[in-house]
Amino acid sequence: MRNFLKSTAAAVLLLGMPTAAFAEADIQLIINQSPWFPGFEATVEAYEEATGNTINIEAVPFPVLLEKSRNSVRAEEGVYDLLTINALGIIEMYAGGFLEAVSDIDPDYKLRGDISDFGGSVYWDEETRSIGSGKLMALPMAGVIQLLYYRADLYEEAGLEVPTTWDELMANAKTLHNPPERVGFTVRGSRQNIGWNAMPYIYSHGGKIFADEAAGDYTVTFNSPEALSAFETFLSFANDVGPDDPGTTGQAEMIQFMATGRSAHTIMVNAAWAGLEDPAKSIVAGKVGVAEIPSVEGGDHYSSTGHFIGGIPKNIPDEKKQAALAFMKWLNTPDGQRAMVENGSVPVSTGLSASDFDDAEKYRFLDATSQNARNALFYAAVPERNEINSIIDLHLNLAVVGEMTAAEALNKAAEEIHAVMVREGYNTGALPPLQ
Amino acid sequence: MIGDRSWKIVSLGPLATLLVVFTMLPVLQILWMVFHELEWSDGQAVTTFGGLGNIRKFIADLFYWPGLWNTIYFAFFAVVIQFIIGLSLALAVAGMKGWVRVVAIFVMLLPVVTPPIVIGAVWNLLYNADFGAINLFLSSVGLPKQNWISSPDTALWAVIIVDVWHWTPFVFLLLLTGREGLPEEVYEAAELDTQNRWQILRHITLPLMMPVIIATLILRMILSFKVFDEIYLLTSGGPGTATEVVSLSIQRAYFGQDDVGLGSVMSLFTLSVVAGLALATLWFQRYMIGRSGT
Repeated sequence: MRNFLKSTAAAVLLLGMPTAAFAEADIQLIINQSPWFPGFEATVEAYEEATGNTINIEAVPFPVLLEKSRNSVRAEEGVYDLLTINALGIIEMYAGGFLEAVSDIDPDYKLRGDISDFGGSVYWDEETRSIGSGKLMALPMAGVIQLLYYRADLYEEAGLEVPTTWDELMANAKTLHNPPERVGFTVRGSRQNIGWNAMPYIYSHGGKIFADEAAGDYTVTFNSPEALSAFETFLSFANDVGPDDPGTTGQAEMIQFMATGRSAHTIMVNAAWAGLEDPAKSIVAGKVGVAEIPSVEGGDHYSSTGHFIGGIPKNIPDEKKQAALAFMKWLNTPDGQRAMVENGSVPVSTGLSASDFDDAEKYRFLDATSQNARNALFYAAVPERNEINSIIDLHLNLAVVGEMTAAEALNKAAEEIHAVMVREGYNTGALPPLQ
Repeated sequence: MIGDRSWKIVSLGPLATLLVVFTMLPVLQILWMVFHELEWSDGQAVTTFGGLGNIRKFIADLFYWPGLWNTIYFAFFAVVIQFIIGLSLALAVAGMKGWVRVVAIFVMLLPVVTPPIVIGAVWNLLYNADFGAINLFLSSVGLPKQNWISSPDTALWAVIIVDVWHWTPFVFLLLLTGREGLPEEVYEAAELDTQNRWQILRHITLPLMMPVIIATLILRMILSFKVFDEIYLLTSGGPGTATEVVSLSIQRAYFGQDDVGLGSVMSLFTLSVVAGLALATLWFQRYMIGRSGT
């Protein structure tokens, strides 16, 4: 009788537990080590605690993330059930047919209205082989996007207004430019991803890489007069109010310049925010403000995305696909987004505001993040994206170090991009060279 | 009783098989990829005959050709400077005795055991235009600051200096071993012949060390041709293509652009260049040894 009661009690307890505790299979997630990773890891722990599901994380350095993901999706059966895919690898994963579309795993699931699709980069139309429409292929994981960082304390001292145009930003940068103690602005001028930083300038001036990607018109317009005007603006920030060696200034140096109080402004990723606000890593903690990236007077604003999506490979068992999607869906819920913010990571929702949190001061980057995510720019969405980026980075860098003029750099980059598009059989064309 | 011919087959067979499996087959596969295109569709690899398409891409590549020139320039100057300093140090230390010698060898070997990531971080700080130690020193003596790794004029030499700092101890160690293996009787006889130090160096030490010197030069030249980590960490090939090297181009083709065909052409061409240089050096070795009669 005692044993019967014990068994009955145990059965009742088991039945009473949340069904989610046994709902999903364990999954293996590959992700890169980054400033937003610790916050993401804590969010995963919160998910595991809330659901009883298990996610095994393999954190690798960024340069090997794509290669390990490639090896896994190309194998007979994948090692990873959930891939963290950076903007650089998205098109390759879609075009290669490696991912199971979210629409195919759960046809009823739709991206919530406040979740950014980061320039349409989570949708892929296999027929036209372009982004922005078609199937929902993956869900946004980390909203890494560029923000304008400025020294709020210096703005207050000098009575400056937060700039909305490039001209206003330049005027403020000149006011605060006081070398060698402090430079007015730091651009990312090194050959690694200079193009990524230059694109908000170029697109906001009306420049583009291609005439109309969405309509399949890949006429190369990178050497348009608008792009020239934009790139000259970029160069003036680099040369007139920047550090001595803009040609080697990468993201690490930009963070360093801001954190040591030696730069009054920069445009860099929101993932750098947590470090700048940490007094152990930054002497400007609490003194930095963030805002929407400027534009020309009356123009559209843009922010290049460096976001990450969670992709589910085709070559894994169905229960793993379900488990991976369950996590991604949870991450995109208001609870998941809140957890990301509170743990110090970067959300993908554009609906979050600092005022939603008790400590609004701590989360004051949220409004600018949401604003810039709404202006997300995902350019050159073709499988040859990395080759095109290399061409752009090389020539823009050559102009920054003075080896080419702005016009020469744009002409040569446009010529090389055109050669790639001709080689790959795109509907392409070219503009006459800039003089 | 096993015959000569059979013995050769039995003794060399396993090694020859390993050589074919681990060296020749990968090279043959690379050669095959040179003429094929590999694409992925619906998660499956699709390989098609691409004719000379990869070679045309290779010829038009923006990075490889400046990188090849930089690599040859880098390898030549880095190895020559390492050889001159390494030989001088080896000859100096060969004459030392006791704890001074132990301390000298220990200190000189430190750079070669330093991990590349540490070397990259340390030299990045030293070269920093704003607060690097080198520019702070220049400022303190009234000289203008230099953009060591961001100026196309100085960037390649900046990484050559790092390579010299890193690898000279290795050259020193090999040459020291070579010097200490020389028979002392020859030196005693030379002293009886009242030869001065310069004559001993020119007519005895260098000719006797020639096999070690050539082996060291070949080894360092091949390793210099494969330079990657120092440049990746310091400049990543920039500014422009000022410090681009062939390893970076191959890495970009294979892993950045996922273009196996282009990466294969680059790899095969680079292999041919290195093999050609190694053969030329071996020919030079035979010529020098024949000339010195060693």
